[in-house]
Amino acid sequence: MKEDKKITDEDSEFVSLCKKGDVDAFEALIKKHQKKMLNTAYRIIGSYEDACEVVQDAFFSVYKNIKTFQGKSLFSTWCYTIVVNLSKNRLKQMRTKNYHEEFSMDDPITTQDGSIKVEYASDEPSALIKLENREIQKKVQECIKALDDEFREVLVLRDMQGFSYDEIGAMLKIAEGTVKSRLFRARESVKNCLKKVLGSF
Amino acid sequence: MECKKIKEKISAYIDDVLAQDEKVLIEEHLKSCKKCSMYLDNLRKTIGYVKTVEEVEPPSWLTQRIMARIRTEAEPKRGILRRLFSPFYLKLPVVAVATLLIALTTIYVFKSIEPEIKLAKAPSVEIVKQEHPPAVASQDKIRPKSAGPIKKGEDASRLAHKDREKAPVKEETSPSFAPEPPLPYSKEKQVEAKQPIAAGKIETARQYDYAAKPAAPEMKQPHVSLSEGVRAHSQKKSEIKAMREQELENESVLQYSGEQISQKIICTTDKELYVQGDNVDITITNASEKDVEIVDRKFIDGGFATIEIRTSKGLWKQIELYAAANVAVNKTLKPGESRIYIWKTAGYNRSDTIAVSGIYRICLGEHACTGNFEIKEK
Repeated sequence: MKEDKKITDEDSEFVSLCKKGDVDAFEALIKKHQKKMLNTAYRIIGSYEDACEVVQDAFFSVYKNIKTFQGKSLFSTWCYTIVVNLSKNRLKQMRTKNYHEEFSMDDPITTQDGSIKVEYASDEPSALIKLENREIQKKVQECIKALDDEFREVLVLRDMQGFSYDEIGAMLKIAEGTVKSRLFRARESVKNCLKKVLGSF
Repeated sequence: MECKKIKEKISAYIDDVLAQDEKVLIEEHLKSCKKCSMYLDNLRKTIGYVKTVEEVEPPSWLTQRIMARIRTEAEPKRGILRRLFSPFYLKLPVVAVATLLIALTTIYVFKSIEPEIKLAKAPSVEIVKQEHPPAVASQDKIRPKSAGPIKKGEDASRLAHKDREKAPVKEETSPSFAPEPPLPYSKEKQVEAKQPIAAGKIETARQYDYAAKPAAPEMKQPHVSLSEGVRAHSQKKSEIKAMREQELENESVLQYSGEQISQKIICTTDKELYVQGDNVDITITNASEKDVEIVDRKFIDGGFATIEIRTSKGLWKQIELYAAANVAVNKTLKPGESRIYIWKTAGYNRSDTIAVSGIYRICLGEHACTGNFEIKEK
């Protein structure tokens, strides 16, 4: 998170309310953080449905334990730590259960009510460029998905979610050196993968 | 510094997490090394591509579903603790609200707290009675070995009456209180809830029906499917294997804190052997002389009884179910009353879920378990 240098926690007011039992205040916190939580989970796990479940579990866990939150880290960092850990657990479960329903990143994502999720930004470039971007997007996502779990985690947290090395180390409970080396290898792997699928850079 | 070492640090260099002296060394090197400069460039481009991956939007129902779960959890607890806490989550898509998981809660707080029993009213009959004929003593066996498989819908009290007429089956010795070792697959379909009961009270505690109440108690049997159309993981054959590889908490399930309680809750399944996809009917009977409060919780964090599968080490592992939050309804199970719950072994998580084959049992927290039953592959 880019705001980690701030001294004050933007969420502290709502967190205080929640600690006192104000359930509605929690809703505001969910709305604020759910997108990033979901994207973190989704990019680590690879399945939208599972990511949605994990995010629900994560928020629920946050709520249940909010009284024990001491403010030693930003509230949001705490939330993301929980969602990252739950995502890792889910991934492990999926692997051992021979989970076959891996979401193909090529498929448009269908939501519960059947509508198709639009993934692309609203910039409206020309049709050709749109197609190219789409293709590139697909390839990039494939390359990320092809990473080993531990490499993908750090890549998602650093390059997609913008967490600092310290924060990543705290979330994953690994040393800074490990973060550095994993990130290096993750980026290397994606680079080599992209070279293969995109040709030259 | 040589190129190889430089390359290893380039990633960290990009993020500006290197010490100043290292940074300087790298920059010096880059000035003259074209290869490494290109490498830096390519790595930066790669990161750039990764950053272009678009964010997905959360589904519109996400916030509400989380809030629903929280609000149900935040309900004030009435009376003495009655909830059965079971660790599996139930998340149900809003769409599949039609049939939901019904949670049976007894009075036991999951895992760590002393059991307390909510008494709806004081018992009308004094407990200590010693003079019942031995034939009645084995009443606690609702379905003795000789009875054979029970048809769906047949209620326990009728069976108990039948039992009484037959010759008594072997009587179990006083239930011990030591942690129960993992049960080998046995023909017995039920296990008594273990309680520390003084020897003199055993006879009475086993009374299924008390002398003071001649009429058969009313039976209420809502058939409720535990979950239908709920999503979660698909369970394949490797599930048991996976469970074996995971850590387990403790071997013993039936533990009681030592309080003298003469309540009993009996759980039985209608069969011992099922095929994948069958429905397992679970009958919960209040075989005590006091009312027992049940909170039917159509969902969440703590549902119903736990469904456990036996691992290769002989330990019991809970399987996870997913369903969702809804309404809690309180019901009283009067002495002798039963309720039947159905665990549909297919489709209880997502529509493609089916219970893996293995030995199972269903437990109401640490209060009572059904006997072991087996699910075979189709």
